[in-house]
Amino acid sequence: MGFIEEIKRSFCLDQGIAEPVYRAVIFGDGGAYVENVKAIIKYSCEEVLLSLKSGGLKISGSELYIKKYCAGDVVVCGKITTIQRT
Amino acid sequence: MRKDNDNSKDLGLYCVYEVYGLNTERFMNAVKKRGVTLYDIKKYSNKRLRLAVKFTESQKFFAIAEELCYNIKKVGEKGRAKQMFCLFSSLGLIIGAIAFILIAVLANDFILDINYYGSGKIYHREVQEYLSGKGVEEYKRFSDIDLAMIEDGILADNEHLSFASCTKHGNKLLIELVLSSEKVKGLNGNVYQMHSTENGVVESVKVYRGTAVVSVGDMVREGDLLVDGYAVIKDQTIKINVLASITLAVEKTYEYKLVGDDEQENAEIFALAEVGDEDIISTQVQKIPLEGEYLYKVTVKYRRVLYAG
Repeated sequence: MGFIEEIKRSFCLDQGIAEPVYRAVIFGDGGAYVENVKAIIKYSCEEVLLSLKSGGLKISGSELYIKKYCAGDVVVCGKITTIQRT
Repeated sequence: MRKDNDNSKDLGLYCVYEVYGLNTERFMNAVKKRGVTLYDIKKYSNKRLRLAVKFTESQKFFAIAEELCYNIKKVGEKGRAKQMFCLFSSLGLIIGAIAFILIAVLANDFILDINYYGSGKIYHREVQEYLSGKGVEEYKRFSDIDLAMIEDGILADNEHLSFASCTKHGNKLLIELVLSSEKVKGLNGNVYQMHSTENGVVESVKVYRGTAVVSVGDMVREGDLLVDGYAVIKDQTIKINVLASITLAVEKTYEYKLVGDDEQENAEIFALAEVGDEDIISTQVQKIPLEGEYLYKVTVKYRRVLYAG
């Protein structure tokens, strides 16, 4: 069984449910890469609020800056303390 | 990470802009929606944002900003190709600088002036003649001459100099000349007559001031008047000091009594030592046997230059 299929099974996503609406990869405390972002709602050095296809994602920390923003992908760098779903 | 969807070429060069306006997030979303990737986005205040865009997407970015009525200002460039970009953007300057350097290098190779200095400077005309013969003149090239060889040549050509140095100083050729340690007699201006100090035949007469009373070929004795201190100007006789040089061909005989019968050479050496540093014309040695020894008669003919002044 493939790796992705195993992940889906552990998260109970293998029963006809659509692909995950976003994917977030966190690199220690130094950065986060988020896929399938619709737009940036708010951006400041302490908080980045992203709009996803359903819902939103809030990244909190300090000295935050956006390393790259292109179609659907956002890379946020800085001292990340919290990532929470909104 | 997904591959970039934009097809723009990555030259390794990014343009950095500052965006001014309210709701900068709206601006970022609009730009992203139109396919322009934004890099290194930093917010400095509610109305000021700094970001970077690929060089190839700059024009598109400008157009979007204008359409959205945001003020943008280009801050600079960054990336690994930044130096090349700066180079090509001021190509005219680079070409001008290269042309200037080439001209300066070439022009520096030409001799524009030759300066003489030092105690031997009084012989600069002789040195100049020698240099002209060796092709060292103004508007010739330094790279065509060997300065060390020139220095040796100047010394060999002029016996009055003990040191010569040639150095390049920009476009000037500086030549230092030092007189030899021989004492050079000075003129005192108090001589009103010139008398002969030797017996001989006059070979040359050079009178700069005064009146010569002998001519070439005359036989003179020691003490004879050679140049008198007067000049005739418009039927008037004026007393002046003498400045002249006369060359005499002098003949002297030296006798040596020696025991050996093969001492001609030694006798000649003794005689020449007595004559000194004169210009020798000829020597003749005669051997006369005496009782138990020999008499060597050495006749030396030489030139003696007499000076007055």
